[in-house]
Amino acid sequence: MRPAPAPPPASSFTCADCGATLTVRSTGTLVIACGNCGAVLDARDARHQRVAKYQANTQIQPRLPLGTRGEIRGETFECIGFLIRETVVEGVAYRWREYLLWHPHRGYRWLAESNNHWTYLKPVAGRAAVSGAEAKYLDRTYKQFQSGKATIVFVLGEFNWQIEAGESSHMTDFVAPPHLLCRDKSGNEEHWTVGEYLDPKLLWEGFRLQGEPPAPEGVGPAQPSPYAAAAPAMSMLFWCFFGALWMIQIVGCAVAQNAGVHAQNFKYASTDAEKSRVTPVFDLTGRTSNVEVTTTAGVNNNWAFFNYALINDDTGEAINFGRNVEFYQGVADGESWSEGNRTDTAVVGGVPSGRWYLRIEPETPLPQLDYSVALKRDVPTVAWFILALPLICIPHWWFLWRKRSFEYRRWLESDFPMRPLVQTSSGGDDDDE
Amino acid sequence: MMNATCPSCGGDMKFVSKSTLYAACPYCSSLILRKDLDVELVGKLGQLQDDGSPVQLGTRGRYRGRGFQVIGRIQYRFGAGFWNEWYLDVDGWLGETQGMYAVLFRAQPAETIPKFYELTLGAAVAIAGKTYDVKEKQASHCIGGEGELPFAIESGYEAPVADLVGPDTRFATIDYSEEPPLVFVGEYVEFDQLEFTNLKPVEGW
Repeated sequence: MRPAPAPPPASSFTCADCGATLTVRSTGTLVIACGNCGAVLDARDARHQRVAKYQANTQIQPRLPLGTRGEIRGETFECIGFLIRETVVEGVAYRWREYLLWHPHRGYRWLAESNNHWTYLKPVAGRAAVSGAEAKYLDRTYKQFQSGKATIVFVLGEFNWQIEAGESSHMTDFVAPPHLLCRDKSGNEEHWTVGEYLDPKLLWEGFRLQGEPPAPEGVGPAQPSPYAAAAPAMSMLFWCFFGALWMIQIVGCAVAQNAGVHAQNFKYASTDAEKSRVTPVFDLTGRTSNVEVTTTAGVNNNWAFFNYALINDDTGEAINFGRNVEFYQGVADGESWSEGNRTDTAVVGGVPSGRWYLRIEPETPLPQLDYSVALKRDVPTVAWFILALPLICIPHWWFLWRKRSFEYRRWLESDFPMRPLVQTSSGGDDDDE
Repeated sequence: MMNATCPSCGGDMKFVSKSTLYAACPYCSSLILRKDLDVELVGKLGQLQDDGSPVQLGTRGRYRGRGFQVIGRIQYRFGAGFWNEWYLDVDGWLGETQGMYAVLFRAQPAETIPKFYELTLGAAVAIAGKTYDVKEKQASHCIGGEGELPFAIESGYEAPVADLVGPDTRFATIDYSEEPPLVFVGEYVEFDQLEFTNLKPVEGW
């Protein structure tokens, strides 16, 4: 537990309008707003003349009470001022809150809160360069998020600039999450601040605020994307799997025997009493792997169906499968056409080594048919590759979709909303899902 | 280090830097011109205002690896606020206001510097090969000074001064009190980077 902060070196005077006691905490203070009556007084002038008047509202309680000291990113600051700004977009008023922090050595900082998202800002020392919808400062490029006229609707505490009643300015936010850059322009004057998204938990801890921070709503303009953080690891994972799959495929091709086992020509006649044929016994060697069966049949504008059985001569184990060979051709409207193929290739997987033979039983409407069968042991195959590829790609696509969806929701409230990937039929629906 | 006696009040004075020409008497605020080993009274300076600055004469710091000591000060007023130009023993300046710090050195740019009346806010000005934007342009009111200074100042004098910001943290000041104008270029520096010691204690902090 940190020691309690020392009492601030405050000077006090009474409000010229209502007599309430006002406390000045910062040496740079120009004006002070009375929480009791809404008067904004000149803090430098000995008579403390009123320079502006706002509607008082004692119901408004800043989350960071004025005068509290706390630590942000290892630096101590004291909250000295609070204001509410409002912007009207298409007839709807949006409000956000800003807290002015001060340290005698480090000067001023801002905490801005909107929809329970917090950002921590400091004045830009130097110049940010704007080109189009982008701004650049210290090697970082920010994208324009939102721009609009903002009016101060409530003030409390002290400020280092002369606040006028109903003061409004043109504010533009540029983001490079978690960083953001803000331009506050009124007339010829521009005030820039730069900062980053602040986890509300750190603020609550640093200022020892009671309870839990209220849950942020939606996606904040500068809120870091959890998907963006995981993206390099996810991308790495994807490419590792992809690479491994390729390696397996390449190694698989390299070690495949790809050896001819047996080839034989046969003749079929519808008048044969026994139409089935068997090959001599052949040896299938090596690991349990596939057998490629290539059937070539002399069909023309006809078909032939082959019932196959690959039979182990020792155990009697049989692998049954059927192949259809058909070929059609002709001339239509002066152009020749063809369909089908006289050659068919089938791969039978998971055949253990041993002594095997093939039994063939053709069916065809033809009276006679010449056909040949060729067998090859352990041919390279892309089947597993084709099967595994979606298993790798689909989770990655899902991740990329989630990542984009987060950005979509971020930019939804901006001047530059992203185009939805899926256009809903109603057209006006802005939901990404 | 050179010791001298104030020709106005007889108080003891010290010159820390050999390059210093002027010094303000700590007892009577007389501005003294140093002439080798002799000194001469040139004017009287106004009362400095308490602006809450944490820097004071004798404050030490570090800029780009080089140590410095604050030996002099000019305090200005702009609008309702203050700013200080602290003179450093490395013949540079530390501009300071409301927690913003900039270290500046005198420059002799090859470019023609526009006249004060030619400057408009936001306009680009080339200084020593870099482009700066005019950020502020005003007559700054000199309140007074203390310690050692490289030139004479006058309380109540209104100096036409332009502040310019460059790419990123670059910063420049043009003082039109003289012809040709005095140009200072440098950069904003974070408080913590300056590694200050011997700062003025701030009550309550």
